[in-house]
Amino acid sequence: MADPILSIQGLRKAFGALVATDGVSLDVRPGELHALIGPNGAGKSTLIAQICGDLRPDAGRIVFAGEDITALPAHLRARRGLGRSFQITQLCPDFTALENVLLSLEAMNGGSPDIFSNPRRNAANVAAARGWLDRAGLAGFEDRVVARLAHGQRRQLEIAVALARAPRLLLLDEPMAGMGPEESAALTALLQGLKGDYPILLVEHDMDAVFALADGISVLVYGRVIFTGTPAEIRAHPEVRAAYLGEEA
Amino acid sequence: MTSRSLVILIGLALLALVPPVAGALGMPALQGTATRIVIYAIAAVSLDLILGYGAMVSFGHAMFFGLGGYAVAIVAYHTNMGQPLWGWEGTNAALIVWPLALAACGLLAVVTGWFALKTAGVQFIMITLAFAQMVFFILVSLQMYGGDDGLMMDARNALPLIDLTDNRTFYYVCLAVLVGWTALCASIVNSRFGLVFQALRQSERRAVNLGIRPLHFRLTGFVLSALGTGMAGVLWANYALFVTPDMAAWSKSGEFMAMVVLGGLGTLIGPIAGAAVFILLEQLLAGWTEHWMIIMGPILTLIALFGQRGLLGRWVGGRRG
Repeated sequence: MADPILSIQGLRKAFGALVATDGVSLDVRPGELHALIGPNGAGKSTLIAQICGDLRPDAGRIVFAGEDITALPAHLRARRGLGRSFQITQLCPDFTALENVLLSLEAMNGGSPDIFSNPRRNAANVAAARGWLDRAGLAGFEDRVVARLAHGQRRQLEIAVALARAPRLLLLDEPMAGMGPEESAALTALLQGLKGDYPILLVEHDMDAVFALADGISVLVYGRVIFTGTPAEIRAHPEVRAAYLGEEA
Repeated sequence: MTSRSLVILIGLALLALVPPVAGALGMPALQGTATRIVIYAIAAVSLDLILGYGAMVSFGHAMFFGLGGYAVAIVAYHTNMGQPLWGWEGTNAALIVWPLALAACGLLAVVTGWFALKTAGVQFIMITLAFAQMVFFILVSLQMYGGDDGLMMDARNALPLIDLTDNRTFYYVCLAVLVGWTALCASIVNSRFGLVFQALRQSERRAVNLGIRPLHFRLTGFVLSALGTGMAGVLWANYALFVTPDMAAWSKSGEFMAMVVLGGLGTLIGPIAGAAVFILLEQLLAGWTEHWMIIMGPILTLIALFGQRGLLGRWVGGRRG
């Protein structure tokens, strides 16, 4: 099997007496869509924050594309090709949808000190950004200010912003959160189309989407990965059903 | 034509017509008032660059205004007294003195900005204020340069081909600086740099997770803003031929901020109108009562409360220039 693009080894993070991440190990392989599921409070967001560099783990290692990034600050991880979407939308509300994607392209190398050229007139970048907005289902909304986009459209824009820079790994933190069934289905179809192009670590509550998309699933409960397997194995696993799926059904 | 370009055109025509109108009306004082407005407007536009577009509330911008002015006056002092400054004879050439003054402001901005940007929010406001107070008290303590009383200059700096001793010419030079600087600021906010700089205002977390290191961009913005404010100080020293520590007082920083908010935060054009209204009101009210701030205060409060986008915000559009 190919070397994993992302390898988490024995990660641990405690807030006082609360152990939010308790010895988590997890691999995402090239071309794989790996889903991370678990009940609320299981420590999914804390784990994502550590992978992205918003939080430092107390122990353990994070290896990304063969490099130990455990101590690397967040902005350098992003420049290494770690793309992410946020659980709670993080966009620039005063910018248009197009400007948000252009920002993603500009920021890839850390941003430019150029105070003269207008990125909105960079034909190549604008064309690329429009293409991604199109793929994310936002054709026709390029010039709309984010503050005036609907919730579901902002979620789609989050994906376009993350995708535009051709990330080496995509971290999607509950991309379907707050979406209606139709929007969810459309996003599932989009992710289906992306599968294989990018390795993806998907945190999601929408079980239909997870079972439709995932190649592998890890179940996180109280900060620990209690089981990792294929969707079929997850469905059949009694402990997982009790811990998580049982509550959902 | 957009309403923004209409406002710019009318404003520019008004400012350009001040000297002939003042001459025709036999009111030379009007030209002096207009010069003060234009110089303050340069500082207000500079502050808007970081306040309106970067949400960096600098409560210490008067230190750059003061330093720019003092740099000009101090060089003039040494040149005229025949006292070399660190072995330098000094000069009256604007093309040497002005860049020197700006370099001093830039250096001060790099140092103070680097420390201030270790923080954000209220701490940022307090640290910029603290640095400005340090500059103020240093200026007060410089007995050689007049201390509290300030420092007089004999003559304006000299430009090749342009006679700055003529008040009308000097006014047009100030106006040209204002127009050029505002145009450059508009280019900055719409540039590749500006895209990132403005993104940091809206969502620092997003920007960092796209690969941005905030300090570099914020510090660059802070220094650019300081250079513009320093240029205003340079022109002020040349206009008044007199600099005092009050140029760096905290109340001066407050005035700059009031002009920006009054005219429209994040519009670049608005703060120019803000400077005009502020100075005209001040002059009008001060002629009526020495407690003019009692009236000015409520006016500022009302505009801040009800004209949420400032005097011009509605017509010139915020942040999307």
